[in-house]
Amino acid sequence: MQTSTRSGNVTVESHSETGSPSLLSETVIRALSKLEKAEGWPTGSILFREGEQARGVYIIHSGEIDQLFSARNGHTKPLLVASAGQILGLSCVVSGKPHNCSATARTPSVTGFIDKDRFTGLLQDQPELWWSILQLLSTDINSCYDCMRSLTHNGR
Amino acid sequence: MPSPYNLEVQYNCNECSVRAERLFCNMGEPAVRALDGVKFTSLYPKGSLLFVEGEDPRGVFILCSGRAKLTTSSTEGKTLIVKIAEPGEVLGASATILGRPYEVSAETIEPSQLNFIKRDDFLKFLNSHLEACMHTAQQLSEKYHAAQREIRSLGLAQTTAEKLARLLLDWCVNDGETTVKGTRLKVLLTHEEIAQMIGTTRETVTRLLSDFKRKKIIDVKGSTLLVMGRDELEAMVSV
Repeated sequence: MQTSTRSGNVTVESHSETGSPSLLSETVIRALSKLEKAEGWPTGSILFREGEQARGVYIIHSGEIDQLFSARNGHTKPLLVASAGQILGLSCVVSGKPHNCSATARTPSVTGFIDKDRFTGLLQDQPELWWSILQLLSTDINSCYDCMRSLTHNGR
Repeated sequence: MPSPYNLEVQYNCNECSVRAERLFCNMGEPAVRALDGVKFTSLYPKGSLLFVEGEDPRGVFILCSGRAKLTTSSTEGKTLIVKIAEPGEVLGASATILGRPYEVSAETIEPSQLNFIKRDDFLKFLNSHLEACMHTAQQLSEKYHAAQREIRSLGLAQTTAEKLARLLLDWCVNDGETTVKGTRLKVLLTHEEIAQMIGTTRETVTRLLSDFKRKKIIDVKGSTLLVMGRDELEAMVSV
């Protein structure tokens, strides 16, 4: 795994050291690890901004990433949190749509980044990975429904 | 002979004239033939419950025509409409893929044609047709983006009037018919259901619609809603 650390505050470890993220199977992890570039993110650092075209996917190995939504008046709120085992930017790469929200590190985090073209190339080479993509997207949708339930519960 | 519910029924996916416009259905002939072999076509009247939140996944429903509301309940038992599904959408896909209970309930809000595929058949279909996997992934991505838009509205809107204004503007963009007097909408939802879409009460929706009507932002005649003041609605919205 290639390694680049953005700050001395975060130690980037290999997969074998961090353990397998819970939502990804060993086969998928092996396939992704050949291509990903590890990056450390100190608290508050920005992975991507709302409205930007997706450059690729971020596999979260450790830490928590806030997904922030902005209003027109500039008011911003973290409404979703992603953690180890989730892949950020996946739906944008699959659909070709820009990011719906910004992502910032809530805690010191380590991600593996795979460029969009390399990721889609990997899916062409290993089509069996599509099944994991479906599972991950399904899990992401369920997280959104959880969030909506909690917003309804708190907001009425 | 007239078809049930006056629907134009399409039993054969290969002959479907709108297939090319549909994200999931727009597949090559081998996949469509396989799909035809595993699906069961049924017609449902308005108000039919397709599946219920918490139920083990039996399979997926492809919405060929008509519309369905997807609802979930908070821990307090309050109902929230998370989405109005449109023709071409695959309902129940995430639960079927994960093998976990349905996260939402699905109920038709107008007479609809649906193609049901049993869970085992759907998984085999995905396994043997890569194209189907890709189209399902695209459809799930769209659903995820739609859910994020809902979260933004629920989480960031400051007032209920703003949430209602946002909803009306979305309808104008997606389903509105432009006329000289404004944008005409056919509203199939009750005030209770509109309330469930924006996380408020039926009484609040009725009061806000009356306010909008008094300010000549909208006019309501039966199920037709005319939006005359889109600029005024835009001015209320911050998300």
